[in-house]
Amino acid sequence: MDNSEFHYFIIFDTYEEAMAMHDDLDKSSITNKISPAPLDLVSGVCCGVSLMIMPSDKEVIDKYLQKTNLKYMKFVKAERTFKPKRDRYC
Amino acid sequence: MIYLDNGATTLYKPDSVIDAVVNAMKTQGNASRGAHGATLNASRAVYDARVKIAKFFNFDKPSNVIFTCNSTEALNIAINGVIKVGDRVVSTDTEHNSVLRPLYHLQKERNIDLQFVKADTKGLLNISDFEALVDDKTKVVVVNHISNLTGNVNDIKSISEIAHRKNAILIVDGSQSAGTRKVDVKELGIDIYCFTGHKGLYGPQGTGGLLVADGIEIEPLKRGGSGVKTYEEEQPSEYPTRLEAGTLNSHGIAGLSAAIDFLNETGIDNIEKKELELTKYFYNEITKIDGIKVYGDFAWVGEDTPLGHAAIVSLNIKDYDSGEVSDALSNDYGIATRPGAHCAPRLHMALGTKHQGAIRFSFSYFTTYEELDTAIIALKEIAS
Repeated sequence: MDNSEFHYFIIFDTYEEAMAMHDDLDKSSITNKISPAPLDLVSGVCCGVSLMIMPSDKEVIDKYLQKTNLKYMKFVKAERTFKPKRDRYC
Repeated sequence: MIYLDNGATTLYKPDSVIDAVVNAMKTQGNASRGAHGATLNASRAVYDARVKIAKFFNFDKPSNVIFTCNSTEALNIAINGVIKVGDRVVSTDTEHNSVLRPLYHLQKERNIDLQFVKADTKGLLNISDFEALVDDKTKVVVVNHISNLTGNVNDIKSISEIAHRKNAILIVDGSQSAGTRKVDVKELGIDIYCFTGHKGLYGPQGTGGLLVADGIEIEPLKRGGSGVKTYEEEQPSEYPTRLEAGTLNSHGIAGLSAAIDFLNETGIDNIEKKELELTKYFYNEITKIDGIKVYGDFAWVGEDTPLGHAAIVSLNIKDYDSGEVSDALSNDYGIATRPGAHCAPRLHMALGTKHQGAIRFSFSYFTTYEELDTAIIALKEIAS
């Protein structure tokens, strides 16, 4: 993934829905990563994983979500709360 | 050992199943618990297994493939989850205790109106009896696909049509049919199909599940952790999470997934054909022996058999106790069979074998004719 200050996440009710969309996005060569769900944005009421999407792919995903028959809960933007490895060499 | 107790569990599993379990135990974390590599290995294995199992049974919704420890757990979930206080329920004399005991329990606890279709002396059910018993008040019909005692196959499609004409839900115990024949749940019109992984599917013990048709609502039997919607006080309503509280047996499910691959590669029609031929051969040979009585319907031998028959032959020798005969087969000939009552009390009563029990021979795809010949010789010697 990239180093953006934020990412987008597709949130689901169940792991099965997440896995199904992950496979479908992979088939369409749309970059996505199974990631822990951003709990704060959904008040903990979702399944534990989400699909993380790069900001540069937002429009692609918007179009994909309009067309797909696969189930998902919501598509949200989440700012990073910290940058992994940011200060490693300080 | 000559293992002829495959109706209880298949002993010989494909190596690929064993390898898959070992690999899973070395690589899998807890399915649906986070997003690191180990948990995703488990989640992936479970998800892939749902998809494969759905396709195997021609079922449309992988998310409605619910994993359990065995068919008894699946049946308990289904029976307890759909039957309400005062409901009328129709079942049959041919059921296993995994159906009967939950139903008897609900008779006491929920005051259900429990009716049984009677079995005849061959263990057969008459479809017209379903017509008579399944009425407008009937909410649920519970029936096995294949009897674990006689190997008789029930006409699920006709029973489904009768149940659905009265808007009743059809729960099918597929313990003896899953993996031993093609089971198309859509074609057969099954609402809830319960299966176990360790018999005809050649998977590990501790695996099984149920397929829940769209629109069928099942109250959870268990509630607890699921890795989903932690802050909700109620069990999540979505399948499969609704019915899968607690850590799944993802190691076993990985083995079950490999078992489905084996069945697909071997061909379910080839498996059914071979098992039917083994059964015919054994039946034809043992019925030449004086003093042997076979239970179940074998009128199909030598004729077309639209419903087929499972690879099960239950018998008695004269008035010998079935336990003694089975013990002699084991100790003197190294042949494993199952004597006694087979958890099928109503059917034994219908067959008139409550006190003697019966010796069940049950075969698998891996059974050989040489093994059957040894068993036939053993029976001849015991009967002589």
